[in-house]
Amino acid sequence: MSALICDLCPKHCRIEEGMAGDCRARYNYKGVLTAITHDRPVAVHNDPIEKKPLYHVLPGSKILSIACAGCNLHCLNCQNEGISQSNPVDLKAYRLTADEIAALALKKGSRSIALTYTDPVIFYEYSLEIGKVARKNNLLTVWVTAGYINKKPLEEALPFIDAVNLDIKFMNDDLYRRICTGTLKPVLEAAQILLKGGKWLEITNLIIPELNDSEKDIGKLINFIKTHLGTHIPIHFSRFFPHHRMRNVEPTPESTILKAAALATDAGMKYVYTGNIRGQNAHATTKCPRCHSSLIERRGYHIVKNAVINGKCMSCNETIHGLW
Amino acid sequence: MIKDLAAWLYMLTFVILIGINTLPQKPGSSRSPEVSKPSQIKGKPQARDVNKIEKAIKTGQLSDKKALFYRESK
Repeated sequence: MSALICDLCPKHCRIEEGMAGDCRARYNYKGVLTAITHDRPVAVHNDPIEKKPLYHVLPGSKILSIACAGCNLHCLNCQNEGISQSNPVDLKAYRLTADEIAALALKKGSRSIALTYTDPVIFYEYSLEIGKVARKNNLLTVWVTAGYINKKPLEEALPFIDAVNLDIKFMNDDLYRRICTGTLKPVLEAAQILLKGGKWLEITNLIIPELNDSEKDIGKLINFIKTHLGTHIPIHFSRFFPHHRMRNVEPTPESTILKAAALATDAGMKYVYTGNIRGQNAHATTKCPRCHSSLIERRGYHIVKNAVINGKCMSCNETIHGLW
Repeated sequence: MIKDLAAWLYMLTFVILIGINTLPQKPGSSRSPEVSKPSQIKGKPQARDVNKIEKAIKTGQLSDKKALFYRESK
């Protein structure tokens, strides 16, 4: 009876025969580590790309969004716990190969495929295959991820990724451990590997009252992005709503999110957005960092104006970063 | 009579619940020493899932795709 060590993510689970790793998706089947959710997505939806959120990739387009069951993190506030915290054997899954996923994306008029809802890290092999097939079919591949992955697997995945929305949950290792069962360092390293690998990167930060809503917490995140990634990286500050095992915490006040957005803008970040805020208070418009004219205006997930022409501001010809 | 029956049912439920909570389980996956602090929540399958998972792999409900990035534990 041989135990196996999974080296995909920083948890390095030691998995006895007949057992799965912490993610539930990698199983020791007769001494072979088996990706049991491969080709078995539990969610397949054709979403607006703005929902990921990705604001600087093919605005207004549809993205075929795929998830398999399980997750290597167990966030108390998980929004998709029905699929991420379930045992894959208990969920009804589709049987779709990477080729079939690409064909479906083309049929539905999607211009890209997102590996999302749970985390592409835990269906790594499937994510790679989809990325390869997507490239052949002129589709972009997007990872929406918490970035909790080891360096080597991430580097080997780079050729099959075009854009990433990376969720940096906290700038505090203790909170990563207590709230998400993870650690901070690998996530920050993943951000830098993705950027160095030439991938388009947008950052999401969910602001939770009492946990990461202080100016100091927000400032740390802004400083990391500015110093290690660049001021051209879009940042999405998102409002928390009570969910899963964190129902005892109040929703984040809009004022906190707006304060975070103001701090990022004041620090020189070029593209700052707010999530889970509707109406006039929302920062949902992409503005030219040079002439400040409104370039992409959004209402919810819909684009009402797009004045980015060939990646440049229509008014002053400034380069607007992204995949257009 | 009804009181006796209720007391008996109560006792039976109590004994069953005690039994379920104290039965030994097959040891699960554990962390290698690289992880210094244990997680508070672990999403591990329980021993009772093994037959179910292996049956699902055999029937194709779950995949038998060989994973990347693993090694044998010494």
